[in-house]
Amino acid sequence: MIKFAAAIFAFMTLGEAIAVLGKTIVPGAVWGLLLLLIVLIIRGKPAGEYGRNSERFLAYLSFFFVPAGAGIVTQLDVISRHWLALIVITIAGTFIAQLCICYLIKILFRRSCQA
Amino acid sequence: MMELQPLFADLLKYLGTSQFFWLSLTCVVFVLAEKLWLRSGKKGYLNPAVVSLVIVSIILLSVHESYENYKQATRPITFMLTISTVALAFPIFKQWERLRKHLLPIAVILLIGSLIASMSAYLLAALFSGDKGIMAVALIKSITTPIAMAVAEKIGASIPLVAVVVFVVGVIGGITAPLALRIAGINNAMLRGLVYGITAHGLGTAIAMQESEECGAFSGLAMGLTGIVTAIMVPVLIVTFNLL
Repeated sequence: MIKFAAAIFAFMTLGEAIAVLGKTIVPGAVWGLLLLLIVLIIRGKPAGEYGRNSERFLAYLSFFFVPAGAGIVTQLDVISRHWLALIVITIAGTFIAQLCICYLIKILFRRSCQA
Repeated sequence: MMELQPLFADLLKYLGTSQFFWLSLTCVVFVLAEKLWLRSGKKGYLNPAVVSLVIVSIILLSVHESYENYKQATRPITFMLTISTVALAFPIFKQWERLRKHLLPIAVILLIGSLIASMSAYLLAALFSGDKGIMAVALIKSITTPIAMAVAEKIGASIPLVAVVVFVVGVIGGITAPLALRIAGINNAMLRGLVYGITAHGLGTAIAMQESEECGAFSGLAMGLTGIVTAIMVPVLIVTFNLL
């Protein structure tokens, strides 16, 4: 577990360094994710203990998001002002995007769609 | 009840000064919500995270506790969310062998798919509200929560609003994806998985898993890569085309 934590913190630090020094809008955590993925691919071996620890850690992902999500109490006026747009984005937006992507796939990969 | 309420509020006000009170309350609420979810046979609408955040919100509103205090007290939990973005590298890497065999088609679908998912919502937001905050949320509505939260901070979208919108998109996307796939007539497990993962992140992946292991694996892969692609693409688009 400590090795796993060390890897996560080290790549988080590297990612933050890139984000701060390069003044990127891409967040440090995403750079950290990308760097770690590249290292894993170059290393070319199964992640073993790290992989098992990440599974146990990520199983709690939905719990980690509760405090941030509860911040919705500060957004009640925004929601009441923009409720129509929010409903359109989440329902229509999602379905329209899915249809477009499905037809894009059909055009690009006509032959493999049925397989 | 009328007399108990102020007493309860006083007690909470006192307890609220302890940094461990809100931390333990959040954990206990989640444990109970998870029990309820398991007892219901894992009904989607009883998702423990959403039930917990609704209960915590109701408690915060009813005792007039400021979110700022609650947020400070629960920083250890939110910290875990921040670092979990990096940990996503492991599940993505697990799918690397599958990805390598179909690198080109997957890359094309992911790049254009991410662009479609972001821009369609952005245009709808511009059309139906014109509010910059809502348009920013729309751009990252279909990516996995930890990455969405990290990007939200950078592009000036409200983090709690993003958290809730992303969740709703996942639930709805999981329901509508089979419909879109049926209309288009796509039966290939890999291609189906990609559509689930690009448009409905983790919640879509859970449903894709029920279809088949292959479908779920590609959905998880698409979820992770869409998160990365969108996190890099959206800020670039915002700066280049002055979107916000």
